[in-house]
Amino acid sequence: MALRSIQTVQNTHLFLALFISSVLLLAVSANTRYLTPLEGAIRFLAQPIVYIAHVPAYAKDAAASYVVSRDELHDQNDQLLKDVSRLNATLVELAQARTTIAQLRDALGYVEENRRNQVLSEIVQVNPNRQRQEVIINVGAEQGVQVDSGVLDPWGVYGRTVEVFSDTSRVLLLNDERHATPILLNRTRQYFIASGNGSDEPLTLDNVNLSSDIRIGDTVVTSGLGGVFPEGLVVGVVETVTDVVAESIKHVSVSPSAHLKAKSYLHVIAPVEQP
Amino acid sequence: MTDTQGWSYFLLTIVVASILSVAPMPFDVPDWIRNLKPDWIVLCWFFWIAFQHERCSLIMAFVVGLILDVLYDEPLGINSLLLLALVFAGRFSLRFIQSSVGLRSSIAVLILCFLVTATKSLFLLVTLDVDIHLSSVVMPPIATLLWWVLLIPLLNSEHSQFRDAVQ
Repeated sequence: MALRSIQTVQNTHLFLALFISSVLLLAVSANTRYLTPLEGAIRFLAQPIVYIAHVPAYAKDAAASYVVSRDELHDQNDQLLKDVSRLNATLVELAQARTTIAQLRDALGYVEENRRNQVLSEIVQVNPNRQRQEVIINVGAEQGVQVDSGVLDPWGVYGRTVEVFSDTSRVLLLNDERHATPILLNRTRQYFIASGNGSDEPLTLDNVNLSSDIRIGDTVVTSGLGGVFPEGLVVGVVETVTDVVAESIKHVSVSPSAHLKAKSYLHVIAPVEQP
Repeated sequence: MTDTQGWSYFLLTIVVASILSVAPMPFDVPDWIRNLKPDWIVLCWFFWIAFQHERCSLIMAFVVGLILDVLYDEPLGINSLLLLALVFAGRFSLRFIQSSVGLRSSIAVLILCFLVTATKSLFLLVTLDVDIHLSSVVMPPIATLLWWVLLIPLLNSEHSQFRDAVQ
């Protein structure tokens, strides 16, 4: 009986010690970045669990890419040939445009700053936490990716890198509640901030004056402010505009162009090292 | 069953529960199906607390919690705190749970899982200011309960090899 009492007291002390340690860890990790090295070490140890958890998804992708009917392959091949032909024609036009731009730059004495390169990547992990819209991609510091590099998918702006490891990077998606993108309306060239609202929700424009000229269907592009994205990349299309007369503002929602729930190749905008 | 085998079973189930917890669902799955994903960690720990509570040490709960914090990408400490509380509460209500594997243990699973989910959601709401949908707080405990109910016949069976193996 006495032995059991001693064990209970020891367990209570241990519980209290670990409980207080957890609270301290929580307070520090929620408010500072001092514990990032510890998180990195635990993440390294937990990597096998993450890889095993994603095996079914990899297997499904692999099966989908290997098991294709002959007709489907024919159709895909035809479509790809058409795409190549169309893109070749576009390339010729782009080459002409590039020459013209170079001549204009020479004439104006314009010096190009911040040349950027695009690194192709694939999604290797989706954050299971539904409150966070994040993915892990298979390129990192070794491929030239840096923190706050812009990420694009074939349809538009996808997000930005928030953490970069040697071979992988964590990408915060455009619709995450912690993500804000400096944008401008292509038609009126007005500047706004587009904020994410979580999964399946459109982006919203912050602090839009009641007198602002915004219409449904307006294209929203990056403004180039903030330095993450160059100017002119497609962010989305204005979906709804609602006047809130009492607050003298407009509620504007923007449907993202990027396919945020599709598994596709992503392009990371990485700065080019100057020779 | 030897002690080594018992520990192997224990650790294996913890690893499997962690894998199931972080395994991604396809992109096109509707939200109501996503919400039906049970809290595998609570289910697994509750099982071991109910049937071999001596394996569920507080230090083990703390360490597994830290790994879960990283796997879920949540602030370091939150899952260790919740697992510690789960183990402690489970040990205190051990007689209540073990007195009836059916009804009482199901009530305990539902309450503990709801408390864990609600506490975590509340913390994320306060610290990260994220939107919490009611269904994401209510559905996981119900899904966990359904899985626990599926386990009950297996655990209740007098001749269950599984029960013999873990006891």
